[in-house]
Amino acid sequence: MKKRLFAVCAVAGLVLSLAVAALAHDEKSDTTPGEKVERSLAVNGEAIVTLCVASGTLKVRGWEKSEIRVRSIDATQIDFRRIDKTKDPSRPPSRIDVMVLNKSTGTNPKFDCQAIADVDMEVPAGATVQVQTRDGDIVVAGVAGVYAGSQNGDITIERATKLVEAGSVGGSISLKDSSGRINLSSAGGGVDAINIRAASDDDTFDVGTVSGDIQLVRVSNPKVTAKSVNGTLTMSGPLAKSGSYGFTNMTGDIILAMPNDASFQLNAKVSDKHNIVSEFNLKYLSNATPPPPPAKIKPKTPEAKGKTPAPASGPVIEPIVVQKPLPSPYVLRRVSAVCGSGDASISIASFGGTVRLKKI
Amino acid sequence: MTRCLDEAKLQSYFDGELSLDMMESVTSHLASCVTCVAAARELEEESALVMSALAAEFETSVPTERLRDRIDAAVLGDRVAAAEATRMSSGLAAFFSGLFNFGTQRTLGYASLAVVVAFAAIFAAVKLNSTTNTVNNTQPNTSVAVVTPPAAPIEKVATPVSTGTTEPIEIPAPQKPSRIVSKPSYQVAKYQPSVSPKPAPVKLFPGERSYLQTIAKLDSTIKSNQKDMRPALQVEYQRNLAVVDRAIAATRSAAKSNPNDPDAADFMFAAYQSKVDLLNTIADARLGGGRGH
Repeated sequence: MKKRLFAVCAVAGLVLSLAVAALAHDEKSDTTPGEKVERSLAVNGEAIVTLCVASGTLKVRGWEKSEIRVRSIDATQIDFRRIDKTKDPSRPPSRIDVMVLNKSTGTNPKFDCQAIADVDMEVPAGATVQVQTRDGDIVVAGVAGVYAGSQNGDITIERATKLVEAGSVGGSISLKDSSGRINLSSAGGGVDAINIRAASDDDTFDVGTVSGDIQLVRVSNPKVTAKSVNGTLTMSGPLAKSGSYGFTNMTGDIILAMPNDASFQLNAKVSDKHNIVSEFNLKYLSNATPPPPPAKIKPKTPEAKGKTPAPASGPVIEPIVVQKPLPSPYVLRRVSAVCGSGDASISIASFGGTVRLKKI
Repeated sequence: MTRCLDEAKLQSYFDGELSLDMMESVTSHLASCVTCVAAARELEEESALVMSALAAEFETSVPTERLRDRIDAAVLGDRVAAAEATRMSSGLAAFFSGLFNFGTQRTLGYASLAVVVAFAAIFAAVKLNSTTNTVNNTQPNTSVAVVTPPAAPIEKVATPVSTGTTEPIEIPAPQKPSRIVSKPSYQVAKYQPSVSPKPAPVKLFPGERSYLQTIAKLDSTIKSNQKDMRPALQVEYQRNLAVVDRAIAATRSAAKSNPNDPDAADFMFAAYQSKVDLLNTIADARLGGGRGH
């Protein structure tokens, strides 16, 4: 009888200790035998979380829990600094700084953002993260908002839902399957954006590089602006209805690949020393200066053999190849034309590159 | 420089051991060579790895054999000097102890001597100053002289044409201070006015000045702590700066040849804006960014 009572008490004690441990999970610190430091903290589902290191790869993933979990093998200590304006202890924090410290920084919080450590972090899916590293890569997936900065590392962002701002000096930027307001900039690295859409009507898409190439695939934000000094600028996919597209380039080419039924109004400023090549039927507007008579490249199709094509009514040209004129001082040419009913508006300014309008 | 840079030269570049000319040459090569930029990055990362790994050793100072010899020699020299001083002090001590044994009369004597010396020094300084001015006026090429730039002439702003065309503003380029070094001559030279040709005026477009001022400010901000800029960032900065500067030069030339075309000027301003954006990015990156709140 006594033995049975002892067993019951032992089981009850075990259950009680497990319950206490579960409650204490709200904020805990673990150091695994492999020296991995791990900390977690319950936070608001739409919390703003910042994480920065001097060097190291940062990986952030959104999950369905209202909790932050941070892990690092290189760090000696991970702390959370609550920076809400109203530090109500009864509510989970809505603004959190993740402090990563390692041997290079010691435990002095003055050396914030100076750690050299790879860090993995999980945050609530509705959170906005601000991540920064000097020499490492950044990978963020499945969160609401992203502010990411790296000097020389590459930045990869997927499934952001509200906003993305990413900047790098020498690294590349890749954004996929995201929505919201987008702003991407890199000096020397390339920028790729695939499957991007607006979350609200005023969500703009801005991208800029100095020497990196820009590639946009299926970007449907209502206003898209892309600028480069020396990189090639490529956009492919359907145009947003009544969308506004602006492309500025100094020396690289601008390539727009659009569906056959694309409907847009084109306003282009280009050098007369470079070609505008269009596979679309462009109708030049009366108030615009049309380019010099192009050399028509007739596609060699069996149907065209032996037939004289009917003269087009009006200045409709297909395809258009504007030949380079003889060497002369720099002269800008303005082309204003309409394709289809002219739903979207495309503005192109190319100082010294070729403009190509392709069908996909 | 068309051939790729070898590792030794790159390492010297990162260590700041190259001459100024070679630094510029390497920087310009890195601005145009992707292969060397990649090699530079790799080298820089390796250096960072080694530095972090050996940080503890670097902090511990270990005297080398040469340093030890120098210390021994210095100690030995001190001992010899001390022995000499001990020997001399016995003779001189009595004299100096008497000299600095101030009585009332002796104090007054020292004070009046000091006043006389001070007057003599002031007189000599005034005399020397006037002599120097005379020499500078009559002999401009006899010594090292820093020619300060003349006051910048007032900018001539052209009246904008009513059609909205872009008319250039004509202002002379400011003359940079130049250091003239010549061999000292002992012949009295006659004053000759400077016969150097006036620099050709630089035509600025309306609005261009503000871009130049902004760029100058950002540039000085970056240069103020350029030592803190890591080599990889420096390489990327120089490479992209060269790209932007080429674009500015090209678009400016086009705008100059098409003064009545506002679109040509727009390209130039777009290029300037790209440079401002780049400098802002570099300035932010150099500071590390922080958490932004």
